[in-house]
Amino acid sequence: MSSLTITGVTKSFGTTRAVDDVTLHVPHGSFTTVLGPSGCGKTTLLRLIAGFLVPESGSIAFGDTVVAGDGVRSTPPQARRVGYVPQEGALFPHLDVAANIAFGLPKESRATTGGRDRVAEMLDLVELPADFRHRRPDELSGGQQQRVALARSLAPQPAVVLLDEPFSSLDASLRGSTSRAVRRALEATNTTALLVTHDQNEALSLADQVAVMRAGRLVQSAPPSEVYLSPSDPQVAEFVGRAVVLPGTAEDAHATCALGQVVLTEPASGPVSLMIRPEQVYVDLTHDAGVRGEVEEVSYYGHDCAVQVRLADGTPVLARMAGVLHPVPGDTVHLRVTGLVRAYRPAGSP
Amino acid sequence: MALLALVPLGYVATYVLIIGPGDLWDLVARPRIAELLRNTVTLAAACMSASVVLGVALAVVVERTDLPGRRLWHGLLVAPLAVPAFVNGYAWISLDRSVHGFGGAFLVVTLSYYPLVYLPVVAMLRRLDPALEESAWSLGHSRARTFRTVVLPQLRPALLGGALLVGLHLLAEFGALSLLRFPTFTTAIYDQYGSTFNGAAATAMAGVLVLLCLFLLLAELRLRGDRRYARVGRGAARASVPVELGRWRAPALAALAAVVVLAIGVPAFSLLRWLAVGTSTEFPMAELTRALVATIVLALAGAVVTTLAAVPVVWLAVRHRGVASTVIERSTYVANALPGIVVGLALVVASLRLVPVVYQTAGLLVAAYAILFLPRAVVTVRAGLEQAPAVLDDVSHSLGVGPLATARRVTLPLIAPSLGAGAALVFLAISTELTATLMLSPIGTRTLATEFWSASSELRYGAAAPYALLLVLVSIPATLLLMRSDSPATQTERVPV
Repeated sequence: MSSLTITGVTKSFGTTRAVDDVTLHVPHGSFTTVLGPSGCGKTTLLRLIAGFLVPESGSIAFGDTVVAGDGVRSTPPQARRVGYVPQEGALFPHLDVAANIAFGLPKESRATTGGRDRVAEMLDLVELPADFRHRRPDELSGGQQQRVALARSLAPQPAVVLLDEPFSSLDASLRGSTSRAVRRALEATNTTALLVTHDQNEALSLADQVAVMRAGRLVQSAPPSEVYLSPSDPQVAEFVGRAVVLPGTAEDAHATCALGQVVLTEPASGPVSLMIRPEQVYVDLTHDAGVRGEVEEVSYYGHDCAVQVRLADGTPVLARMAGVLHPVPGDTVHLRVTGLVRAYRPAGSP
Repeated sequence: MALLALVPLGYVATYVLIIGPGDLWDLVARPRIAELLRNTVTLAAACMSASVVLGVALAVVVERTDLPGRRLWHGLLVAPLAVPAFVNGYAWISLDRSVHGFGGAFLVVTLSYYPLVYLPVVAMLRRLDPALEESAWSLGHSRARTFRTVVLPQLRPALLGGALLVGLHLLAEFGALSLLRFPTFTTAIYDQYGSTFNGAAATAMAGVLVLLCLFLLLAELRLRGDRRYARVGRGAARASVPVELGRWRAPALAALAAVVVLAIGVPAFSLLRWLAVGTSTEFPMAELTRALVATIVLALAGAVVTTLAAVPVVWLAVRHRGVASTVIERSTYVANALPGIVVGLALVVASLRLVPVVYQTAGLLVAAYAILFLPRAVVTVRAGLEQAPAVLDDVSHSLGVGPLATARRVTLPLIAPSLGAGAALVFLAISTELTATLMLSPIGTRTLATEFWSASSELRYGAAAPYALLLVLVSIPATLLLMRSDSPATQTERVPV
């Protein structure tokens, strides 16, 4: 295992810059997710790391070994020691589970008990029963196929494992259990891993570090809580979760907006855009403290609910609250902001 | 290889350019050509219409009603494909001399070719999402109206594709129409070529024939349009609820029985009768064996060459999609629309003019087979390669396995079954090929089809019977392959001629 360092990597298709000057460091043994909407270049970035594509400029290094870069002959994929887990697993349909897992092992260990032991070890690692070894890929569920695909990629002890939206084709319940099993297996083997996804929940819940991509560029890379609570710009804020963005006026550590006075993460002054997460908006059903508003719509999810409120001055605000006791449309409520709020210079200002 | 497939087209085009419009007009604007054009067009139009009506009606009855014994009926209705049209023509005319001319040709050719519409329509009916019909019923449409407004439009690609095949088969048909004495362009080209070796007249007629084929291809493309009719919904496909026939059960059974008797019963009876009569006098074991061996050797060589040639074409089309690769792949389909007679004629002339050494060699004959049947191999091999997506190569490389080892350990095992199936289909098609074989086979080489032809065209019906029987036996496995509903040949992609 080794760290992964991407420096100033650029790749174009025709006139489109799919990956534009991306720099990212994935520390040894850590798990990074690359999050971005469809077409933002995240899969291209993954294919550049795997060696299926060659960057126009910039460099890619596993530990101290540069595998692609200016003046360096690009190392072909088969010599890079990357584990690659594509969408839907892509198990070899003509081979059983054991042969799939052993595919990348040297010939002698494929044929001997050594290879079989490794298969058993890998099945155990991805939490599949040992008797799965003789099953054919078409006898496995989607989640099981993904676990075998991960086992196959980990068996030859790769330098880095790359996962390309591996859970996107699974239904919601399988997605959670499969992704947690994958996370545990990667942790147990102390594997450096990079996963690309367009699913915010997946990106935030799995990774040590989240790298947000937009239109080929990397716009923020930070721990999940920082990306969620202190996104680098309002677009990132809205991409990684629901956000209420309100205009306000900042003065030092405070700002004033339609929801009253709020405390800022960093001091600022003058006109600002304030990003408030819906769960930071406290909905008071009984007291008069806070800004008055009328409930327009309630979406009930069981564990919590989203409450759409219109303030007296006409501003719409989304709040999220526990699903135990909630208002109904038409109720009058009072709103307060809890916790720190991130302020941005409004678009167009210097 | 794909370029070789364009040789016949190039030959006709070059010829037309060389002789110039004046002479060409003199050759084409003759009463004889007008008569052939009338014959060919009316027979094609009549057979295509009849095949569409018959094919759709039979498919709906077998697939969508509670008819007893549906699987058996399906098998019986596809069975005519196992009888080459020229064997069917022989069976009818040797039984009843009055089956000839337009009426005879219409009857025999329609009975031989309606399964080309029936099969894709059945496959399409099985794939249709019943949720669409259920939505129409829930919106208050009757079953009949739903069929007209929802089901029929979705059958369109299958129906047009099937009709195109009937048309192309008919334009290429030589044996049956020659036996039934109904002259079309194909039979006339052969007569010109055989009796007077009038290259100019034959080639001018071949030009008109090629134009007719291209017209059909373009008409089908135009009518089919760009609309897609694939299943939109996800989830498991359900079978639709069959319609209860009720009091229509007996008439439906009688109609199906009538089709089966005419299409299978009559040829079977005639063949068995001649077999009894013919073999009572002589059973030419030595000649039969020689023809069988020659057929197998030629078909094997043709199958191997054609399948190997298909691999790079398919590889380019699937893995390196682009304008050039699409043109190469499509050009094999255009060549596919060329009748065997044109391919034969083109190769005779081209070899005599350019490389006389290869004239009347087995190699030239195998090249003709490869041109004629390349699309068959392409369709099958393509279906196989699509089962081996490029991502499997990526995964293999990422696991440290190089390109050659990946081809050996991943791609080849995955496409081997389709290579085998493609080769088998080509093998079977070559074994019953008549027209190009008659024109190009080396002197002294006699195949089952040419032996059958020389006997039946000299009215030695009894002597032709054992060869006819062998030709039918050879055709059965290909028919069984086609009957599988997941066979690539029954998909809406162009089915090879």
